[in-house]
Amino acid sequence: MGQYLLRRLLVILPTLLGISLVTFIIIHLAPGDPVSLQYGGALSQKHAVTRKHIDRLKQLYHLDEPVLQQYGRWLGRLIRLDFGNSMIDNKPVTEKIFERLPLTLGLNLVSFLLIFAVSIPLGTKAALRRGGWFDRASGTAVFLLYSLPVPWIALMMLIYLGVEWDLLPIVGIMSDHYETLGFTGKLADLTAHAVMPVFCLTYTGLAFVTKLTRISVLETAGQEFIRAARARGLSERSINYRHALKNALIPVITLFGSLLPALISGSVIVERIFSLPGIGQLFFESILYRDYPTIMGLSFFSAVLTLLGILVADLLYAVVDPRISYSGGRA
Amino acid sequence: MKIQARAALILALIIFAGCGTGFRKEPRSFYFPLSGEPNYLNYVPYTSSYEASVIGYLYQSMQQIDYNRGSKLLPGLATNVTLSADKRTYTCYMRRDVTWEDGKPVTAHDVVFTCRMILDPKSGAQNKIAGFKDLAGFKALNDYTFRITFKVPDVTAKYTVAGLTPIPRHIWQGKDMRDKTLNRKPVGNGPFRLQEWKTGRHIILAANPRYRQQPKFYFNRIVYKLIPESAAQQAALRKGLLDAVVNMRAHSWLRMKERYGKGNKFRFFNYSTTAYSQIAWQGNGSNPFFHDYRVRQAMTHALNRPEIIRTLRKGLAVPISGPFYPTSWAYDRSVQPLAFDQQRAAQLLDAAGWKLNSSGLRTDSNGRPFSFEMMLPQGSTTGREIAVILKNALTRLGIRMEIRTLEWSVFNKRLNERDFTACIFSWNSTVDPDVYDLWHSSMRKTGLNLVGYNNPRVDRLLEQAKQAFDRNRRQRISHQIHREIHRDQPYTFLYAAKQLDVFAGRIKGVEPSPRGPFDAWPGLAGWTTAAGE
Repeated sequence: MGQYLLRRLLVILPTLLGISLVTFIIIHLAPGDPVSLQYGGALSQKHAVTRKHIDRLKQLYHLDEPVLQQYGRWLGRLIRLDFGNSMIDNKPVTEKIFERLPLTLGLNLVSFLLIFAVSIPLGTKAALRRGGWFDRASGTAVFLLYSLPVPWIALMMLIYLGVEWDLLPIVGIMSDHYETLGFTGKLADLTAHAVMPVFCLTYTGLAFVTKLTRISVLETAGQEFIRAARARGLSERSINYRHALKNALIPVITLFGSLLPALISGSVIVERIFSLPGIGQLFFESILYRDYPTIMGLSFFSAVLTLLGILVADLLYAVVDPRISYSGGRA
Repeated sequence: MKIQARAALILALIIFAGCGTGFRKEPRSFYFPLSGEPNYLNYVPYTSSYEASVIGYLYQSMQQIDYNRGSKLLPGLATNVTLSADKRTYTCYMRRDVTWEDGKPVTAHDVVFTCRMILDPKSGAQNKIAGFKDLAGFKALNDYTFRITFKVPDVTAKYTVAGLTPIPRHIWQGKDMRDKTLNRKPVGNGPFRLQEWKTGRHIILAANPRYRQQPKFYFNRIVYKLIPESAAQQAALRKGLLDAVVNMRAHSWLRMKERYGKGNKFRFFNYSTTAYSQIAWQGNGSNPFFHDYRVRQAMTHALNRPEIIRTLRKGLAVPISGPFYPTSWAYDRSVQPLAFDQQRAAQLLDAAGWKLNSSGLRTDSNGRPFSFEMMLPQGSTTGREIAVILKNALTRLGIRMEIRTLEWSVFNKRLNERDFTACIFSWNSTVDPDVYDLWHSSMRKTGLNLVGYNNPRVDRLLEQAKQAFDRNRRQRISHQIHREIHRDQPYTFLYAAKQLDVFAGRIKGVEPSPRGPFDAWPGLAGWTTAAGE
């Protein structure tokens, strides 16, 4: 197991190198560069300036060098765990990311818990009553939700729940007077602000996990060990929840692989509509302004988490499924 | 089930408690949305308009400009600015009683330091150096007298001088202008100072107790809330969180006016600004079509602009015929826009050698078809609709046009590299009607003359206008420029869209200006809230 882990970790390094190189080249090949954008951005007549000045600024950022040389420079700094400073506001990229991480992480965590808390019971129940009205109704419901566009739902909630009926706050994650509140007041304030964004992050995710659980329970229910359990005279309840569900959840673990990177990838639409300063907006703005260091920092960060997520999912398989083992004995 | 019901009840209670803490605006606070986080609260490296709106209250410039009274210059840090006989040297006599927030006096040495920093490419002050193009030198004659000299007389230089906004030398000397720590706690000299800055949430300015100049402000606090999405800004205004939303889209402004126009909950403003829109035809010879002025005239005749203003802009735009914004004194009102006339368009195209062939397409004598690409920036819905209308009109004339939408940065790059055949976009011009950079032939390679416009008569007029210190003379020259450019149609001038703002009903005394409500003089200083609120 230890050897396996070491081997996997060693593979991660070249993979990361490859991912970062490809990302670096792609974003530098994309038309437009941060310096020219700062100049002509507003297309205001005041912005008439000489090319010489632009060139000097490009030199300053080493944008005049070949892409591979710039990549080498980036890599050199990365070894010292330095992602550089943003070209927009000169803040260290890591500071920019960590400043926005708690919000995105918090909202996504709540939304993931909700998705699993709703979808797994729903999928299981649907599978146990396959073809019945509950199965059909829940299937239709989750697909209906899945097909509702997030920008539209978010705007409708903003206008009706926020403005017309004046039920929920609409700007940000906390009120202006948040700091003056007591503990329960703070909790209430955060919850009220989080209701709409969390709903928008959650409702489209229900279909996938529900359907995955349903299929997987159905598959397990047809297997021989379930028939054996039934032959032993176990109660239906015990068969369904102790034996079938436990095995049926193995494929759901695959989702954990994508969980880690998804936790930090904010939704641009939800964050913009509800004025939430999260990772999604940061990524969006950094691409808009071609802020290379920030784009690289964020992509690298999510690449690391993706690879770690895959590794964790693989390890979890071994934990829940005794047929899978990573010990040296097997090829 | 019981547990779930209880959990739902608790959640409902929590939410209810969250709503119970109702928000009330303070009477002497002004609440305004920012669509992006400022990067630098420092006059030297700032670039965005939302930074400018905050910086304007933290620092003072040499002189203030009253855009509603013919760009009249009013005292600021300088009580008096004199111009030498050769019209190249400006001398600014500064007030002796202005201090920085930390109590140190504001001197001419701060101004010298600031100019040096603006000229240093490391500072990232690229958007300010345009005014320093013909700079000869500057120095402090004594602690309170600043002198700046230009190589040639230029009538627009007085605005560069008026706009000079010093930053404190004793704080910034030897520091990186983009220093993130110093930029988070700016030391200014304006009517307000930074009280609180919560990243991604809000910026709060409070009255600066050391500010004793004119104009005096009724408000003692400005609360900027960070709300990037315009739909969310409007929702926040309607919910009572904000005092104003400016620059709205026509349909949302009209919808809001329809609903609230009668009551006194909101006030609605629509007025002309310095912005106008156009179709630019690349006439530098890189394509076989638009170097001929008859073809460009035909394009303008083919497009039904009154209909576009009526339907797409809902009447909230003014038709224009030339290169100045319509309320400017430089704009020649006697020049009427070319009429919508398909027949005339066809005649002009025939005369230019683009004749209809047997299959109904226009070709030149070599049989080359008239087929080109119209470039648009992404997100410009009106631009796209105009392009579709033009495409239909041109199809009837036997011309093929493809529409290509590009991401903003790509569009911008191709514009700068003159890599387009035709494109639709808007200019936001300066209040002073100097269009030298747009139309002088020397600006074809590096300036803003993006369409290769080259008219020796216009060149000469532009040179004369720059040195015409007499307003009447400059107006006569500007009208001539207008007529020349109208004849040549290097652009199809579309319209000047009106700026659409909504203010909360409690705000009184708002007066719009060609630069928006905040840059009207005295702007925010002239506003109050209704008594008793």
